[in-house]
Amino acid sequence: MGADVAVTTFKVVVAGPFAAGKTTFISHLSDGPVVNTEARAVGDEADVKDLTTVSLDYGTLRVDDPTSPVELLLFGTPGQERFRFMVDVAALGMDGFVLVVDGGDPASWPDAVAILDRLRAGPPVPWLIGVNRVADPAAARVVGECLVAGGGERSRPMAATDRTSVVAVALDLLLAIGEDLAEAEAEAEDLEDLDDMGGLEPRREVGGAQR
Amino acid sequence: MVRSVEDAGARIVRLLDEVDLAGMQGWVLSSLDGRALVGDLGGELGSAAAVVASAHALAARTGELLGSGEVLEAIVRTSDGIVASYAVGDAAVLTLAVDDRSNLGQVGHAARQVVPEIAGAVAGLRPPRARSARAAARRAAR
Repeated sequence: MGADVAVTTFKVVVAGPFAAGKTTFISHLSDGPVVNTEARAVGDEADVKDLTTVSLDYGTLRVDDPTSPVELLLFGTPGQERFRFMVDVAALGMDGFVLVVDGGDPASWPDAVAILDRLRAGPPVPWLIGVNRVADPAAARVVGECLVAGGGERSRPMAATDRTSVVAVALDLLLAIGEDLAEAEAEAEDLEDLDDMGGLEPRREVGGAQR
Repeated sequence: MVRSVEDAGARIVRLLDEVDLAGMQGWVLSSLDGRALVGDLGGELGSAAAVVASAHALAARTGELLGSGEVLEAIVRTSDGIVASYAVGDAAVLTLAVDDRSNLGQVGHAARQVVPEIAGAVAGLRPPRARSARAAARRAAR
């Protein structure tokens, strides 16, 4: 019974405009079968693809470390504007996110910016831009910088259909999450030290039994 | 006293044993952000938790747009039985799956026995984390 308690899990949201490659990204990243909630696309959207995510995609990526295994819980969101509230749903409690954009489709970029703004409205978490269908790092940086100031350095070229390239993006994000946690832990320790010295708290009576 | 997700799990198992719901197939307690806290299902807990959280959020949105008040339960009737999710406090969801030996009334009754008993205790519980998630992430990413 019960979940595997030894695994550290990180919730990663995969968001982006319609047809950017989010489901493909998760499918190629996930170890096991991905939970899809896809429905037949109709109207103009059917010209772009047959199936579209209507609620969420869910997959996991296990990164095996002998002492403390890590598992990324991947939450993919629908791309269409009418499902935008699902981005807020998925964003609840996330540890980081990847904004997937189609590097060859500038028309979708304003939508990507709107989604990015939505994801950044909550508590700050590490994030990256996965620039799909772009192989050159410099070209990916240009796309990222078009989306948001400073977006260049967060941009990674990738092919959502290529496992090696999507795993690289995921591990990069994991590293950023790790660094972020390190800072948070260091701050917490500093606060504890301050507390030990009587810092911000009113100084307590020092009894014989205490130091 | 419930101090950890394991304690909460043991408590739920005991309560479910007491109500003895016919045709019980499994259960999972998950956080509203889609992480499995504890459970006992035939399959993998993580996917169930992710989908339940999304379904619950959708139900909440549906209630907001079309109905009124907060979502207390979300019910799925399938060809083989019932999957019902119940809000536990404001941060968790308990999902029960039964086959066709129980009806909706019986599932609801069971939930009413269990949920109030665990609601206070479950608030604030988080999935277990490694002592240093940072170190784990750094090693894993190498």
